[in-house]
Amino acid sequence: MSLGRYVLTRVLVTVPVLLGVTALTFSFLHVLPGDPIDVIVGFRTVSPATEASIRAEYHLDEPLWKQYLLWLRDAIALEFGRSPISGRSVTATIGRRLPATLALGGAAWLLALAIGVPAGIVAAVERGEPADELTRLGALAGIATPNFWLGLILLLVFSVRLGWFRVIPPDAPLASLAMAKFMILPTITLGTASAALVTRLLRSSMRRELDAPYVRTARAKGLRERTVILKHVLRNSLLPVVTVAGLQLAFLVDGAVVVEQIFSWPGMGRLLVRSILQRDYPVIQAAVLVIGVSIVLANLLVDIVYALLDPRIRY
Amino acid sequence: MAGNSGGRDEGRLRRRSLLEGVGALGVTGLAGCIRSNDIEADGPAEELIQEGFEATEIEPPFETTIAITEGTERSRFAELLEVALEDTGFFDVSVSEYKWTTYLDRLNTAAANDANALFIVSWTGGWDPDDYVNVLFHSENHTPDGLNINHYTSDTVDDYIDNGLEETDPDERVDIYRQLQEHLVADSPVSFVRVSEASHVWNADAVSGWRAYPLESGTYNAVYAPWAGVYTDLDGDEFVGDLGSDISATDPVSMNDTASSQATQLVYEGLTGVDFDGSVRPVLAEEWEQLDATTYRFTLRDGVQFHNGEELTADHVKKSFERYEGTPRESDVYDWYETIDIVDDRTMDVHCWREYGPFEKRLFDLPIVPMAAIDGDRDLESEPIGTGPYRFADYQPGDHWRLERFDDYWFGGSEGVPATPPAETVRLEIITEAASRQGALEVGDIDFSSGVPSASLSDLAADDAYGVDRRIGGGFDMVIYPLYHGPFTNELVRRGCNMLIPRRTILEDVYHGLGRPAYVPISPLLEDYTDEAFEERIAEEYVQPT
Repeated sequence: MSLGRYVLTRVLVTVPVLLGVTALTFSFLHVLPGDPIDVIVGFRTVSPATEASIRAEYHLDEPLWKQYLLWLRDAIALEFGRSPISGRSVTATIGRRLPATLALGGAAWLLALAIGVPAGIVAAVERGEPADELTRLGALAGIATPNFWLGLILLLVFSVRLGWFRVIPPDAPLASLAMAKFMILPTITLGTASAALVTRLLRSSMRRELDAPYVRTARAKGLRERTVILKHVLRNSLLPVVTVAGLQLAFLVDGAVVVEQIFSWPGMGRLLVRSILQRDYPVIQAAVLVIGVSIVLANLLVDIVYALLDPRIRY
Repeated sequence: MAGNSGGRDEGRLRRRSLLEGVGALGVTGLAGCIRSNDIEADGPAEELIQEGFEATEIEPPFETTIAITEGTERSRFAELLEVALEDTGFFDVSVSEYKWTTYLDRLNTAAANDANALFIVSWTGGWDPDDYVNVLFHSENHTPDGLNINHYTSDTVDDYIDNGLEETDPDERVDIYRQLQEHLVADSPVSFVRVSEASHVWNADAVSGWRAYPLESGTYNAVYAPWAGVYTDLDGDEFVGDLGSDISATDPVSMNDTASSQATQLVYEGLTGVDFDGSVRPVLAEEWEQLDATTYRFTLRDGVQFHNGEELTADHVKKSFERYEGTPRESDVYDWYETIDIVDDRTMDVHCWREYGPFEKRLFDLPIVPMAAIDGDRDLESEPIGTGPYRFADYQPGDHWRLERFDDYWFGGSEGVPATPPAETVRLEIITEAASRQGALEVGDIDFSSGVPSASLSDLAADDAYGVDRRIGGGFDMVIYPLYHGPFTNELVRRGCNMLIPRRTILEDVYHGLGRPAYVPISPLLEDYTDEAFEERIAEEYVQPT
């Protein structure tokens, strides 16, 4: 099967996956305790007629399967309705948050790779040397540091004490210098653990490759060490890293709640948590769909990169 | 739980609770042959508890749990309570933590499920005494319809609440609510532990003369509220404050969270306002008089313009009120509203279907909106339009909310307050993390914050670079007893527990001294209803016998 056809099949397979994910979320949501009506009316007493009309307005009076189908019908047309809590368009709400999340998640991911890959290579090549120990310590610290702690410390030291950065995002467009500067601390906070993970993973996978017979052969035939490492070993060691990096990409896009809180970042994580607390079903559903799509896309990307890295892999 | 309580409407149907009737009255049982005699009661609290255990024929130690939501404040609170109860020897107490949503569900179903748990909850009332008792203690407000979590049922209390609500004579009301408070403390269905305090902090070089509005929803009245004779001087054209969470809804008929009220405070106006000391002042109404028990004649202020250019008329008022029908907040209006007879453009008679004590204060929370919104041409969720000193400029969800000065505002200036607000724009940054709110204030990203961690307040107050103002507010922390379960069916047990609660320690340890110990249901913010002498008498008699 050619890569093109493979991609097409994968995209098609995505459809039932997303259906499953949204259906599951939908049913879990309704199993959770709490009724959105309570939030909508602010725990006030309303007449039964009013309650019924509010329920009807948001289809909350229909059986569960029907609510899901109604939601699905609209979702296919990318019409996610209005939030019963805020009365605002769900599409617009997500549309505002998604770019912020993608920007921060993407920056953190690039940082993770930019630090993790070189550090991993150095650690593998310099096994047992001080450089290896240093990266090991660094990676351990990076993984072990909870990101809320790291974020608060960075904020206290570099923003509050030293005054190098703002504490809250500036009033500037996302793609601006002021915003890029502000994003430095949240990016470090979010990217550190991933960088550490990539470092350790690449080190161990390269170590395995370095002991392989083909490396000895390559060296024996007089290739420069640099070529051996970067062209042969690294390329062969990248597969597990790519898998994890792909998953991390999806994780960074969705899992930034804590960092968003600390740096007042208007992203998807905070939106999702808040919507769950408020039982804002349409927003939760749409957000879950977006997250589902991002994970599926990340996996697809991983598979494509596999094929590019390793010509033996054909689908 | 947040926001003001809505009232109750007797005319409407409600699901009856299964447990109605099981309530406050203790079960009298045979005393004497019970093992609680083995425990030596130490002090008046333990004597009461012992008596109660004997009456209910329950053998100590009684196993129970304190249910809380996650969070360090709450778990410390629960630990202190746990120790106090266990020290008596009558209780074997554990603490269970729940996620907020699960907790809400536990609260809603506690009585129906006969849950053996004490709950720690917060509640925020407003300017009227009814806010503090109706939704929590009236038998028609049992969960899940209201917030009477332990299904407290007392005809006496119901009568007090109903009479207080339907009484318009101020002195009579004070009498009713004092008797009601004493009755509730004697019966102790819940223990009042702490009254909250509004704590506002600002950068002294940017802001001067800020006054803390006691209720959280009204925080930004301090920017410019000529009707209350209050404004704040600013250095610069922009005032930057903060909000602790996103704004949920900006249409008055669906607005019910603190951040939304704070954000729209300078945009919307009602007929009346409640000033910083709790007095009712005219806002859009120039004056009014009570014609009979249920009718009020209002004269509107002349020349009031909405932000979209419409001129305020009596018709706006009528339609703004009637717009509440069938909406989440309908009880705010239809708890008392019958109709409005329009006399002329500026004069109208408001008819209530019953005599309604909180009437004048309730009008504060009922913004008058333009016809464009009433007819549905303009959506107040995307663009709130009112008559206030500031008009909506833009909102970036999760980021900030911005207002700009409204040049055609009705106020013409007075001795104490300038005709135009000092700040050209008001910007409220949404910052959910308390530490970040303090950080943003310290580096000057914001000029003002209402959510700095309580632990930092004394340091900031001692620093000349900051101004701090604190006012007792309407928020309560309380412990809810499972009235329907075990020894807690007996009021002596509850009263004993009420005495044991280490209020001072909780205030200092958990809240860093922010707020003050509470002994009675109604906040001392409402001075007429809970003055110092009254609170002291009740505390001495029921909570801390000397």
